[in-house]
Parts: sequence; C-alpha cells; structure tokens
Amino acid sequence: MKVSYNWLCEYVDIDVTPEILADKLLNVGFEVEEIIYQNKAFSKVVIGEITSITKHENSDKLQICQVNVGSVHGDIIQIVTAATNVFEGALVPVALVGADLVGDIHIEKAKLRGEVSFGMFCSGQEVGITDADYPGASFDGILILKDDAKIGVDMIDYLNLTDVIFDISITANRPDCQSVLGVAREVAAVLSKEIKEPKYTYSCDDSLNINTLVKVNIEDNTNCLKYLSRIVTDIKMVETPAWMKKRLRDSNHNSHNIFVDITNYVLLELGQPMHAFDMALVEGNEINIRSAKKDEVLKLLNADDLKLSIDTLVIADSVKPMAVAGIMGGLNSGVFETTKTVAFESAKFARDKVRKTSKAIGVRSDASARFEKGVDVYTVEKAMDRALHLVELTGCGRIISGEINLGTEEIKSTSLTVPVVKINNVLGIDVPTDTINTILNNLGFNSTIENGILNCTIPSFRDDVHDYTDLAEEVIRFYGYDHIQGTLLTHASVTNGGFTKPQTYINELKNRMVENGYYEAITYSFTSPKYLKLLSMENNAQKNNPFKLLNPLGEELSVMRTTLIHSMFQVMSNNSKKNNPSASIFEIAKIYLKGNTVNPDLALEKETLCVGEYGSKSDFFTIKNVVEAVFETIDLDYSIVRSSSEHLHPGRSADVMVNNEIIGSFGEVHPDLINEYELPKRSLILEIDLEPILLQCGRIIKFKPISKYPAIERDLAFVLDDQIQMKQVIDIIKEESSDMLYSVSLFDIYKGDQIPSNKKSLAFTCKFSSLEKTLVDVEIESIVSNIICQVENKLGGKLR
Amino acid sequence: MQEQINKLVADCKKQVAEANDLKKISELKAKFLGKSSPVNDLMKGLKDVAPADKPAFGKVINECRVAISELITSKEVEFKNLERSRKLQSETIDISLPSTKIEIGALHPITKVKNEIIKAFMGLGFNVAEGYEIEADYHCFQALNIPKDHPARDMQDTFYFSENTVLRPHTSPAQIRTMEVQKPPIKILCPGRVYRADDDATHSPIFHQIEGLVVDKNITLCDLKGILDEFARIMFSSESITRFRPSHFPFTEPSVEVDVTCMVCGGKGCRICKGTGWIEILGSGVVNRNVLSNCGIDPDVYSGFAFGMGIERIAMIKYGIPDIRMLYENDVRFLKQFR
Repeated sequence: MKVSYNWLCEYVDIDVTPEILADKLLNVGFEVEEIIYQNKAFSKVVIGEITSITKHENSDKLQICQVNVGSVHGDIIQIVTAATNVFEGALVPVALVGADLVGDIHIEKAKLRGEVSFGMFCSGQEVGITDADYPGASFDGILILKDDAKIGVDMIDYLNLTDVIFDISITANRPDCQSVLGVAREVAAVLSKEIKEPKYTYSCDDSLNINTLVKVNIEDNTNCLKYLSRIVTDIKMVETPAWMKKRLRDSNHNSHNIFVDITNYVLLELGQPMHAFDMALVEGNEINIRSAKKDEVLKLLNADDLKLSIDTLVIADSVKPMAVAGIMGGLNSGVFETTKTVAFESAKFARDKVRKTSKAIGVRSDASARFEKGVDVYTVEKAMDRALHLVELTGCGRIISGEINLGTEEIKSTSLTVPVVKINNVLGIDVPTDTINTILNNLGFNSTIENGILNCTIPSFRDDVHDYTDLAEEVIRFYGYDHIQGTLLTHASVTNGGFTKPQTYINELKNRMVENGYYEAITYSFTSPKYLKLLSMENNAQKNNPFKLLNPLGEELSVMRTTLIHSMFQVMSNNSKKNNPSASIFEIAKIYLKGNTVNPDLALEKETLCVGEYGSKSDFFTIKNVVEAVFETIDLDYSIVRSSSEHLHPGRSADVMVNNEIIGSFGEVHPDLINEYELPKRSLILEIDLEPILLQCGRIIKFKPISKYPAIERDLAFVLDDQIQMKQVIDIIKEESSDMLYSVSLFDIYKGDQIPSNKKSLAFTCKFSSLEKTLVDVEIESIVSNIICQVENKLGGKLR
Repeated sequence: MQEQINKLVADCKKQVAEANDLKKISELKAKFLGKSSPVNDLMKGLKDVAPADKPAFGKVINECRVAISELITSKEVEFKNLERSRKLQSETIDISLPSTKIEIGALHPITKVKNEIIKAFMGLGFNVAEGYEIEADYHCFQALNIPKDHPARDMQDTFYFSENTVLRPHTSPAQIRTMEVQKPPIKILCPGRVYRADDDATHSPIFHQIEGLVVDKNITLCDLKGILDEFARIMFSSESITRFRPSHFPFTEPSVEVDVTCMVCGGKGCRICKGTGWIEILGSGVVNRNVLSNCGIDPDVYSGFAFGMGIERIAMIKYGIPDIRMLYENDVRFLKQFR
C-alpha cells in the first residue's frame, strides 16, 4: 500500500528521516518495499520563457527558440523544437543539458540539421504529472505554464514535489493498517508519540431528519453486518481543494467531484470504503440490502453491464439494484454535477461474500480489496463522521440530522486480564513490566499493571487481538526481536530422532540406484488424462479412474497420475530430443488411487519406483538388475515371469510377482509407444509398486555358517531347445543337489555350427560343499547324474 | 694344479666379461660348471689323489667352483636386472589417458538439499512425518486456524478436487495429523510435495516444503531461535546466524519471518541478498493456541513452535540455479552436476 510521508506527518510529529522510519517500521512488521522520492522523478528541469522563435532553414518541422532560463542557468539558451504549441512569451518547463526525465530520458546537447540545441521543452508526461496535478498537464504537447511561474525556478519546487511515498506491505492480520491513519498509529507507537486523530466534528440541520427522507432495510444480516446512512442536501458542487486532489492523485485516484472525492479520501485516510447515492435517483426513497434477483442487470460506474445472480448482494431501491455491495456502484444512482441530495453509505459486508462476488463478476476495486481483508465496525462509524466533517469543511452541502444505523455487529470493547508472566513465558525472556505497559499504551491498549497482573482494553479497531499470545506479539514487536536469545529446548523432554524403516529403505534404495549409475528425476504429480489411453489403462479400473482437479492450470496438468510411466517417457523423450545419447533415470514418487477405505475422500498414495533408460549400455538385463537391487535387502520372495503388459515389447518384458500378484513390470518399451512418445529405439522402462516391499523392509540379518571343507566344482553344458529358459535348468540343478549346492552360475550360452540350428547350449558352473565334511567324488557324481537325467527327462536337454 | 685352477678362473673371468647376454651366460654356466666342465673333471680326478692330499685338493677345487659360480651368477643377476628394467620400460603407459569410468548417478538436487536439512534436525531429536498430499480441507485449513472466509483459501491459490478435498498447499496438515494421534513431546519434520496454482520463473505449481514442529511443556520463542540458529550453522556455515522479523501466519502467534546470513556473500551484501546481507528462508512462530486445541492438546499445559521453508528456494540459492523450472526438466546434463 502507498502511504505519503507528509500525510503521516499530519497525525504524528515525525522527527526522523523517511529512511530511519522505514527501518523502524520493518522492525515492527511493516516492510517498506520501496521509498519513492517525488523530487527524484526528474532533475534539471527549470522554468523558461520563450523570447523568440525563428524558422529552421533546413527543416519544415523544426523551429529555433531562444529561451530565457534565468541567470543561474545561463540566461538565454537556444533550443530546437518540433513542438507546435509553443509561442513567443510562453512559460514552459525546460530540460537543461544533463537533465533526466520520467521514462529514463536523458538530455544532452544535440545538433538538429546543423543547429545546436541546448535542451528540450517538456510535456506534462515527461515530468510525471497529469491534469490532476496541474491544469493542461495531460495535453499531448509542451506544457504551457501559468503566469505565476517564475523564470529559472526548478520545476520540482514549482510543482511542490517534496513528498516521499512509502510502498508498505501490510500483513493479512492488520486490515486496520490498510489506511494512512492505521499506519500513523503504528508510526506513533514506534516513535512513542501521541497520535493526533483527524477531526470528526460537524453540525447538523435539525429542521429535517433522515427518517423522513429514506428507509433502510437489511434483508441479509449474514452478509451485511453493519449499515450506516446519512443524508446531505442543498449540494454545491464546489471545486475539490488542491490538498485533497494532490493526496488522491498521489494514491492513484483521479478527482471526480467533491462527493466522490470525499468518499475516496476517507477510504485512503481511514481504510473504510464509502459510497454516495443521488437521492433523486433512489426510487421509493428506500434502500434495501438484499440478494439480487435472477436476471437483474446493473450498469456499473465503469460502464460495464453486469448480469446479476441470486448470489450477488446488492444495494437496491424499491425497484432496481443500485450497487453491488462492497464492490462498485451503478451509473443509475451515482453522484454527478446535477445531484442535489446525497445519501452516504458506510457499511461492513462479510469479507468472503465480497471476495467471492468480486471473483465471480470479475470486478475488483479499492473498496472490494478493503472489504476482503476485513473492516471493523468502529471505523464504519468514524468514517461517516469524517466524511460529514469534510462536507462541512469544504462547504459542499447541508447535513441533515439523524442517522440510520443497522446491523447485528456492535463495536467491541474487550478487556483482557493476564498475568505478565504468561506473556513472558511465550517469549522466553523477562520483558520489564514498565516496558510492557508503555508498549501497550503506545498502541492504545489502555494498560495498567499491578502486582504482576496486566489489565488492558483491546482497541476497537484491533480485530486481530484475542488473547495473551497476541499481546506477547505486540510486546516483542516493539521491544525488539534482537532481545530473543537462542536456547536449545531448555525445558523440553529429550527425544530420539530418526527415520522409520520404510523411510530408511527408500533412502537406501535411492542411494543404490545412484551407485548403479541412475540419476534421480522429480516430475509433476499431475498430468494429462491422455496417458490413460496411450498406456492402455482401460482394463485397470483403479488406474483408469484418477483424481481430477476442479481448477487445473490446464488440461495437460489436470489429473493426479496413477502411474509414473507417462512422466518418465516424457523425461526420456526430452533428453533424447536434446541429443543426450544415453540416459538412466529413476523416480520414486507417489501414485494416487481411489479406494482409501480409512479416509474415503482421500487417495491411496502409493510409493512407486519408476526407471527409464536408453543408450548403448542399456538393455533388458541392465534394467532387470534394478529389480534385484530392489529386493536385495528384503526378505521377500519374488519371481520374474513373462509379461503381457501392453506398453512393453511382448518378447522382451517381464512381470515381478510377489505372493502371486504382479507388483511391477519391466522391459523394452513397445515399438508403438516408442513412436508415440518419440523415444529412442530399444528404450527400457520399469515400474514397481513399493508398498508390498515397504511392509517387509527392515530385515534382521542372521549369520549363516561358512563351510570349513573344500568345495568341488563341476561344469555342465546342456544342449536345449531354444524356448527353454535358463531358470528351468537352474531349478532342476537346485532341486537335485538339495543342500549340497553352494552356488550355480551360467558361464556360457552357445548357438552355432556345432549344434542344431533350433538349439542352444547353456553351460553352468556348479559348486558343491557341505558343512559337515569333505565331499567325495562318488557323492557328487550321483548328484550330477541325477541332474543330467532330470534335464533330459523334463526339458529334453542333452549333456554336451 | 693350482696353476691350472688359476688359469681356469682367469679364463672364466675373461669370458664372463666378454659375455653380452643371458644366453651366453647360460652357455658359460654349462661350460664351466656343467657335467663336462673342467671343474667337474677336476672333481672326478679327486678319486685318484692320495688320501692324505684329498682334503687340500678338495678345498682348492671347491674354492675354484665357488669362485667361478660367483662370477657367473653375478653377471647373470646383472643381465636379469637389465632385462627386467628393459621390460618395465617397454610397458610404460600414457598416464594422461582417460580413466576407466564406473559411472555413478546422482540424487536430484531437491533430494540432496532435503536430506541435508533432515540431517541437520535429526540430530536434535526430530522424526519425519510425511502425511497425505491429497488432503481434507479441514486438515489443510480449518484446523490450522484458517477459516472458510480467509483470503488464502481462494481458488487461485489452492487446487481443489471437491469442496472438502484439496491438494495440500503446505505440509502443515501432516503436523495436524501427527498431533491428532500423538501427544507431546512431539518433534517432527514434515517434508514433501506441495501445490499452488502459480507458474513462473520463481514459482512452480508443484514444489517441496519442509516444516518442523515442536510441542512440549514450556516451549518458548527463544527455543525456536536456538533451534534455527543451530540449523543455520549446520546447514550453511559455522558463521551463519538468524534474524527474526515480525510477520503473520494464521497458525502461529507470535509469527516471525526468519532471515539467515546470506550464504553467497557471508553477510557483506551482494546481488543475491540485494545488498542486505540477509536471505529470507523461513516462516515460523509459536503455535497458535487454537491449533493445539483443534488437535486435542491443552494449550494451557503445552506450547510449541513451528517453522517451514521451501526446499527449491534453498537449492536455487545454494547451487545458483536461475529458474525453478530447470529443477523439473530432468535433463541429464543438469542432473549430472549434482553428483
């Protein structure tokens, strides 16, 4: 919010510089984001008089002017201009050589078609002013100054640009500071000065009473908590005083007429939005605060036609809506030059009602911004008095006696009684009693402390203060946070920190993936629903029914993913498009499924591992290694079986089974999807549900005895049909050798001339050992011959 | 006899000196020490010597053999050494050639920073609670003292699934769920994904937060300051300190913004900290009494503090990453830098 330093000075005797004040405000929670110095808007612009104008010989458009800029600046200087509205004797702003103007314009000596120019004439825009600041300043041409302009005077001084504007950020709990007076109260407290309240007094014409002129009726007491109405008649549309215009202008408000200006001024000064109705246009002399009727239409002051809905709260007369409550008035009842009698409105509307309506109709205003943050009923009444004081001060009308004051919310005057020790216990330090007392009194809390008990009254405009913790915040804000000295939980119980078993497992799995050369990716949790079709989720009722956002940033980010594969394909595709020749990537993240039985509105959020890779070093068996890494530290039996997943290559893919359920799949990406996602050829993908694994994690390691006796090795090679899988042979070897087998490993696969074309040879090294004794050849030979026999019987394999 | 031996030794000495490779040496070895060598002949001749002279003769012959053997062996060692060093020389490699890579991957920078933060607090006795991402409105807002009419609840900030179900905009609901089931002492960290409808160079609609909560008897603002000072020292540098500034959050009272010494310039003032020497990294405060009550914890008995920070922001400052969106592109050239 923008607040004028000079305006603040009206309520507080500020005896520090703007910079120091900004620092002090920061320390009490009001960050001054920018200090705008009006006198730094431009420089080296002085008032000059054009003494003569001659035509430029080499140009039709340029004129050569001799300008008197005063003795300090070199008396007469020559300026070449293309401006058409200059004349001999005109007083104009002259930017001298070296001047800086609004919009980053810098003035240097220049030669224009052979004639030297020692500066430039300025428009109002170039010195940052408009009609609101100076008559004629909005004109698109050189600003011609009034006769009171003195030659050689700096334009900064002439325009009285001496103010400093603070751009202050106000936190949501302090709607009372959305005004100059609100900030002034904090300034007074921070400087330990008295606050000088604005004047609220006025006198009324007792010959008439408001109740004879208008009736007000609140139909919706939930959303209209307070409604005040006062009437001013015999209106004289006087010129708005210059001081008021300047302050409105400094706060980006244009001047309209004295009544509109007074409502805007009170809004800025006290933070209370007000409205003024022309009583001649209020039909039936009644004001109703009610819901709009279906299809009612209102033309707003900004000239938009607004179709109202029954959710809109309006201010209406007996016939038509006149304003959208708390947001904007209508053209049909506004105050203009012809208005004779005005009904002022000062009210409190429910903040969420204003917020929702403002959003629904797409109209925001200074009023709606204030109401959304919340106004207090104390200020509702003060604002009305202040507006009427300004009416009397400017002499723009006659104030009718009596007020209409409706609504359920009353001005609060809450007192608090708290032991001082409670305040200090929140802070952890002992703030001296006198200091606490002074701080709270400076803030208007009317505090007294006796025998360690604090008694105070919460100011009516401080809706944010409820209990002693709020008082603690007020105290430490002003006492200073640098008094808080760090302690390491002096009084707290000792606790033992650490990860749970599943958290530990996931951390370790991530590290194992990194050790195996994989990079971790993090992708968005919401995605486009198109993946459901691409990845053929139709057959999986749970995965085909994702959580859908009501207000997504776009269709492509609109559903919560039920698989990580789609995101992983996009990451792989993007890497490939950026010419990264290989990529090995993993992500451990949640998928979101319906069917949470504990909290039916929420999701089953399942930790899932997804791996994608491509490049010369990646094949089915590198990604298969990931599955082994997943189970490495887990006591859980799993098996790898051929997969029928539709996103995978049917001959180069597998499912991971645990307890007869598929918990994941991996393998080469199906060629159709390679095309669809523009993936490199032979890309690989894996996805495993980690939940069954997390249930089992945290294995207890038990030592197994190591044999003292030498192991005996036997190499066995079998010629087998092509479609026989290695695992079938290994299973037989394990079964036949029972506890004698120490290890078995494949050391060769052969296909070629020495065996039939539809056959392959698999060669294994088997190591046999016993914990009890040295094995003898006879024992081994018996096992080996059983193995050979079973391989032949069950698999049709022949020893090579 | 002695003369014959002297000649033999001298002859051997000469021939050994003339030998120029190992082959020649092994020929000499056979010639002077082999079965048909002169020394052997002398030994064979010993049987014809008178028994009384045998010891003397034997001694002389043996001395001759030792002398010849030493001559040959020392030359042999010399040649072997020479040959070994020649072989080693020939095996010299270019040590500037690239190493054989065992390529490791890397954790995502967000995970790295998250782990560092967790590590800093875990030693102070914190556990990790993760909670739901798709959350109830009650746990995201109402329980945190953010009533239905609070401006922060506007649709433009929070993603909704229905009136009562949202994507959590902060990890605070995990604190609420913990307090609902666990009674003090509570010391938890809540890391995880959070969601807000914002998308530009400094805002991502998905980002990561880590929040902390301590609830016990007699917890004060000084304890918050102490814990965060300790965190700043562990996380950034031993010189780092924190600064409190008053602020407002509905779920804490008093509320503070926390700045730490700028980790880029060490507090001297630079472009990153806009010349102030401070970087704002945290929001925190004393847990609002209403929040404790909402979770069934008596605020007259217990008190606590909470803090929260954005992990991306810290990662971006720490690593100098200019645009938050780079963290979600997952380009391997980017990810490789965080090994």
